[in-house]
Amino acid sequence: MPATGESRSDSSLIEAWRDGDERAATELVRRHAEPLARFLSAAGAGAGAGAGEDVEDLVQETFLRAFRRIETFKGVSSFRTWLMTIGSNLLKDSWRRRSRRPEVSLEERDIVDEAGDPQDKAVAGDTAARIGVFVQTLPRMQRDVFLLRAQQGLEYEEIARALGTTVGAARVHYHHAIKRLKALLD
Amino acid sequence: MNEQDIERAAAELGSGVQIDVERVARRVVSQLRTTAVPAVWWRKASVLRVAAAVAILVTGGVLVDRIAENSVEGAAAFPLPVGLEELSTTGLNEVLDSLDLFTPASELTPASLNDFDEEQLRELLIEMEG
Repeated sequence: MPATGESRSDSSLIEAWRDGDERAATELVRRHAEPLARFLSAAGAGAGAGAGEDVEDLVQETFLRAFRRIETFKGVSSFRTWLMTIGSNLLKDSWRRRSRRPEVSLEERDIVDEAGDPQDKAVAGDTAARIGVFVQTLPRMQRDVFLLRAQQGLEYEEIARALGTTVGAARVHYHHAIKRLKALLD
Repeated sequence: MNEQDIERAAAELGSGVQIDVERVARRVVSQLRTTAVPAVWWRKASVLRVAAAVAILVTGGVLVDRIAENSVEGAAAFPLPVGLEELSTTGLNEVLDSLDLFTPASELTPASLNDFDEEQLRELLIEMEG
């Protein structure tokens, strides 16, 4: 009996899509669209007005590019991490077309709603908002390594494979990102 | 603020973004349908190319084989053991008439074989034999 969409592995769905199975493509979108949207949003997609729509458009474009170039996916990193690197490239391209990164104010970033004391919530929310802004000022490699590690919880090995760098270099990028964020927050 | 605090806050980044996953899925599939899907099409095209190459090779092999057989049979059918000098014009015409498989020769010589004199017929047969 064939496995249902939810229980099939990414590699099985990718293989099915290579054979033209649209349901496999749909399942891959369902599985990875939200984490991809979070990554792109944190990286700076959709900053400013109409953020949600911009992020959604970028997510859609990322999947389209991925599916059209599925033959180039060698499985060196996970499919999700591969999507994030594609999305990051598209984001860079969109900024290049606009000739600059968007300016982001603290008010425009979403504030994390954490449980607890209202004062703590305010501080935590403020800190999260500031981190959200500062992350976008990091050099691209530092930003991507930082988000893949801190937001997506990936190991350095996976990050290095996805970004085409070494584990040592990924650690260094992460270290510099933390150092810079600390300096900006203090 | 220490590293753990930053990481904790970073883990929540982007959590407020709202997208309609089903809408994204529909649009992606729809656009993939309307534009060429290189991966699938490329695969099909490559299969077609291989099939075409195999068909050409097989057909070519069969043709070469038949031509080889015909040339051997042709040589056996028209051994012309008798010296051409010994055949009369009528005899030469009969031999040539029987060689109707050589249509290119007749295309090159639109006139009837009866228009050839004995010497021309002899030359033609010698050419065909050689």
